[in-house]
Amino acid sequence: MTGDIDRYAEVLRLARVLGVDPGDLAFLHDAPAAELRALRNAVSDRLLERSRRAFERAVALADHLPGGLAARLAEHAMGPVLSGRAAALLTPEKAADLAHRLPPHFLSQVAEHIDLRKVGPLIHGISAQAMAAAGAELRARGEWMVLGAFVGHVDDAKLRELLEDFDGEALLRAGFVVEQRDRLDSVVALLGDHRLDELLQAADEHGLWTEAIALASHLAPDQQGRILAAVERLGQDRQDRLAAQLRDDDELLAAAAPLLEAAPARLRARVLPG
Amino acid sequence: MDDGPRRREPLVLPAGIRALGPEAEAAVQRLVEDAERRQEHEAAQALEHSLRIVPRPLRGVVRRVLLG
Repeated sequence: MTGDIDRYAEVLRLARVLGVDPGDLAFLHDAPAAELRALRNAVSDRLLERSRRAFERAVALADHLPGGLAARLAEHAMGPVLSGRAAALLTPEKAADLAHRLPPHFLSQVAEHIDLRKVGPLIHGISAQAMAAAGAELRARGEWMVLGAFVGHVDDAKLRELLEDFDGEALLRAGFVVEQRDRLDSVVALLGDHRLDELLQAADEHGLWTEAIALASHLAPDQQGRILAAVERLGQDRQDRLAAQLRDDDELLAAAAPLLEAAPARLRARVLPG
Repeated sequence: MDDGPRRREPLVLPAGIRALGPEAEAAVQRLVEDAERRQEHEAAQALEHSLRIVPRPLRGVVRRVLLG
């Protein structure tokens, strides 16, 4: 299940770097996700090197001008694509200053075009307030992959603060496409039990059980146990709807089975098809 | 803000992409070249816009930094 999603997500990310419609990359749909990721990284490196001198000069210019004017040039002259690519050459201090000055809508557009391999280390200097405002824009546009890509680059303290703004649906949709899956366990650990309840209620209300089960399948036993406890707290109606989904969807059932093996017998009896 | 004409070497593609065959390889190379050209064009436009946006007294500085 996650193999297809990973491949599809990589095609979307590559399409954004190349500036094309994902449909133009249909001929790549059979390539493994890891190869598509390697291609995306190679294209990003190529584009940065292709205009490195121009980007270095733009960054140098930002150091010569008042911060407000530098931000204005980024927004109105360079635009989000070039600003996102040039961001790889900023110092942490300049990145933090510009992020603070840029309007959230533009900052969120820049976020769609940055290469987190290079810009990731700059993120710790950006205030939670600026990130929260840009994050709200990304959620409003349904940019779950962009949000999911940032998770691996934000420290726990800031992430705890930012996650407060995510409702259950946003948590599921962004969590489903997190790039650094080894981070998911510590992210779920930051969520209180009531947030896990919210997350599963959203899975029920928005038809996101695939996302919820995929997310849970990447967790270590402790956090999986918390998810299973939340499933138990869901209530009969929601559990019945989950049982019906598992009955009708073999792929979902196969993904959920290892998770439910660790569940109490009473929960297994309630949601697994007889 | 263009880095000027430069010989474009084909991008070295990952093995799993090369395995899709020569047509797929050629299609990827075309898309990469298009993206490079688009970026160069946008960078050149950004330079022109920058010079229009900055107040006149600062244009000399902008020109010196951006054009070298």
